[in-house]
Amino acid sequence: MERWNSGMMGWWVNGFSAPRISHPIIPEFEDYIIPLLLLLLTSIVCSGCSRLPVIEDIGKTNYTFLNQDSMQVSFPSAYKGEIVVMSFIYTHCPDICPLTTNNMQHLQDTLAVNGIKGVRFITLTFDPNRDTPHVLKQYATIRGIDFNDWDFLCGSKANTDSVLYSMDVRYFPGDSSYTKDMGLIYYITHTDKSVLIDQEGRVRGTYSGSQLDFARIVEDIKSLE
Amino acid sequence: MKAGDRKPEARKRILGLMLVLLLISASGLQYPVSGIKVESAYVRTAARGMTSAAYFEIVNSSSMPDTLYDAKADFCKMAQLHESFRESGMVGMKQVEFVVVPAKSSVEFKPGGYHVMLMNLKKDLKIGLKVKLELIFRHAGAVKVHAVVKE
Repeated sequence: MERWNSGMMGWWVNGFSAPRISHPIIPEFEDYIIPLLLLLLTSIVCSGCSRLPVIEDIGKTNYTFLNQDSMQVSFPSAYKGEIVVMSFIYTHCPDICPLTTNNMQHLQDTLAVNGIKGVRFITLTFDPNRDTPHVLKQYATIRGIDFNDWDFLCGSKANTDSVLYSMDVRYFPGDSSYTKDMGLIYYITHTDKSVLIDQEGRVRGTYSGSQLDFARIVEDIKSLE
Repeated sequence: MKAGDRKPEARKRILGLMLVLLLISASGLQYPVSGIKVESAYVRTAARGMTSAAYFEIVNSSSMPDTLYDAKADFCKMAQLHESFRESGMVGMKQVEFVVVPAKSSVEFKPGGYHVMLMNLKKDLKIGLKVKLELIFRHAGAVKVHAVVKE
């Protein structure tokens, strides 16, 4: 106790020039200070990294899809080096999926207001049977969506399922009915999720697509820039 | 009093009754039609061949409950009453047979809840377009609704 008090007070009063009273086993406070400062510095530098842990690394996989113009797109390699916000819909959903698409449009506006540029948007359908590139283009065009930074993707069931499952998005058939001319109409029950993907193809954030927390996702995007 | 003397009196009574009925009719006291009002109606934008949804608020000012059990719209192949649900992070929807609007109360059809599902649209529903639909109530009958297309 005497040693500690004298050591501390000595440092407090005289700084590092205070006379040292050494102990054969227990190191002095001054011996801790540099490692402590290094630890503090490291934690500050890495606070940005650890704020968004890697949820899933899909950067080492690759799947081929078609975009709204029927152009082949390799996912996720085509988006390497870019921050991506990805959502999942089917165009025959009248209620929840349009909310998600709407939220993505509002997110674009919010990012622009915040001066954040270069974020790419992807919408992947889990109903590739009905959602052909042409249908996806119609769905987006009537909503005034700009395709410069937004791709609407569809692909084989195998590729779609692989990507969806890697992002923990589930879907299964819901109710169905027939129109008077016997046209089958079916709905899909699905996970309400949008994901944030970093420049290396790693999922860093997940959100409710239809009830998007705008403040949170904007902060998350900022931390990846 | 002779029998013939009663005729003018009876005529007066009949005329009076007809006048009262006419006044009631003109004043709009036609229970229960006047009890139901549909407000703030809008339809979500969607392309031809796709699916949209209609949202509104049904206000029942009468002292009797009423039941919405069908919807019609000539700009789509089929209209149904639906309800979206959310459970354990999953979302979906299901058809509902009817929706009761309690007396002196209102029911809101809104995103994520009740909506009229408009399937196989016959035309593009572009933002700003105005469309008509009919909501069919058990007591109020067919109530015409004017809705605007929104995003």
